[in-house]
Amino acid sequence: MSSTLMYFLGFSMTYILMAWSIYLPYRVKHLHFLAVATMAVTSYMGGILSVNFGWSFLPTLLLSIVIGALISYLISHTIGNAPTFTVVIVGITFVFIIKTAIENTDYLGGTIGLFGIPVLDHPLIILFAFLLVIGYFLYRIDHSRIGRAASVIFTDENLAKSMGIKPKQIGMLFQTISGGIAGSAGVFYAFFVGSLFPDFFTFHLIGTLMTILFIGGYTTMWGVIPAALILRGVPMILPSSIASWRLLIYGVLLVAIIATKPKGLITKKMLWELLKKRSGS
Amino acid sequence: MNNNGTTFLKMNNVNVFYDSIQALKNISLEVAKSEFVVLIGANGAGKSTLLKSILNIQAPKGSINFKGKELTKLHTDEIVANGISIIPEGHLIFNSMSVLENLQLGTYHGKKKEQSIENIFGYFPILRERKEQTAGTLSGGEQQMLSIGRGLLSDPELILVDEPSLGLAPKIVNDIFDILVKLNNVGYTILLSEQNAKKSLEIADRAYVLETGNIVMEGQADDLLNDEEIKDAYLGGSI
Repeated sequence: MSSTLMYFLGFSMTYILMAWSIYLPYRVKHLHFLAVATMAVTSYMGGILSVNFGWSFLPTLLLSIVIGALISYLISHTIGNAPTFTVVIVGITFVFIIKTAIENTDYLGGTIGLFGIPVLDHPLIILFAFLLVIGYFLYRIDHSRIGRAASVIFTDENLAKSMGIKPKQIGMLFQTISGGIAGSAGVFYAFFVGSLFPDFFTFHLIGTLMTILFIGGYTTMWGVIPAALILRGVPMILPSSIASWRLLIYGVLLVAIIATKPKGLITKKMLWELLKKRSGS
Repeated sequence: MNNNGTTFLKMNNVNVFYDSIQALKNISLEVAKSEFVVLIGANGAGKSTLLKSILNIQAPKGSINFKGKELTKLHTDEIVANGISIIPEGHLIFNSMSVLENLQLGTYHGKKKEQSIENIFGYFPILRERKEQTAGTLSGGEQQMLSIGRGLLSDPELILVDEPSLGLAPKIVNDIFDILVKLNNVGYTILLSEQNAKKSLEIADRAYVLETGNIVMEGQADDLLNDEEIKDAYLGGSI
């Protein structure tokens, strides 16, 4: 396999993981950018543990899931039932706190970066297998009573409360799971790329994930998959002079899609109708 | 005052504000167990706000007591768990979910889910026939039945029904009101908010008349049905 294809698939799958970590809390209208800060924490944690303490991938991955979930769980006590705007602000604030802390900590490589993280032998297979596990887990959540309750919260929080649903409880649960997924994505990223730079975990990543979620479609977990592949893949086949305009292209695409298809390219309704048509034929 | 004298729900000097605007003014109201009480009044009189204040969706000031428990100190989900359910205005069902999934939403608190849903199908056989169908494809009346069915699944003792006739054809309104009477007859206590004064006074035990957030009249439904003032204001001058 060519290194270009390997990087394309590896990055795409990491972005899908991260986009799912944003998708799940958005089921209750929480744009949980804290996931990006969590990814930064666990990727550096994984890097340090492997480079300085000789930890292998699997224990690092497991620890990162726990740490990621724990960070989000603790903060979810404050923002588990907060308005979308508050969740966004808290997330972005943490992203910049973590970035600044990394840049000013020599032990983490500072602005120069952290190098020498051992790269996985078969990263794509492991990443794909993990993606299947997380995808199945999210699918089960989406089709559980908690998933249905989340749909009610998204539509009308007061109606949800009047059915005995606790929006804060579900918000906290989804944010915690989101943290766990983002935590795992951080370690996958570190063990896939082999080096870490604080600049990666900033507005650029937030913008990319938001574009993947809203272009792909936020009403179903499947939308982010083609969106991640296309948004990651297209700049790779474009001439480098155009590819460097990637963020601008993403922005234009995002505005165009929101204006024409506010729920994104792939919606739950569309998939349901497709399924119905297939079972009918 | 009521059917058997046992006060079930008691609101005492309840005030509700939307920012600086007062929507309910010193509301005092009682509902007895197994009673059917209707709130009538024009659009904007405060009927829906009153129902929302009972569930603490719209925070009330004053006292709301249900079976001896003060509701103003409880969260909405705790109030629902204590046996109060609301059937919201405009059905508010989930179009992309199946009928069964909509009903399962109502069992969020419930324990015996399958059995409870079977009971609902007993009340509304049409919903059993359409349980796999998406709720958005149901007729207006069926959607209202689904909304009522979902409300019953939290195992309530008191059901708050908000404008069930809104947007429905007269024939369907009659069917829905018949269902409410049946539910009352099997023991559910009902507090109905309704603009269709004539129809609701015909089926209720007692009524309260709301105007701009105040209770301006109360009494037995039969008496209000024959009250000249009510006839002029809400029943088009004659019955």
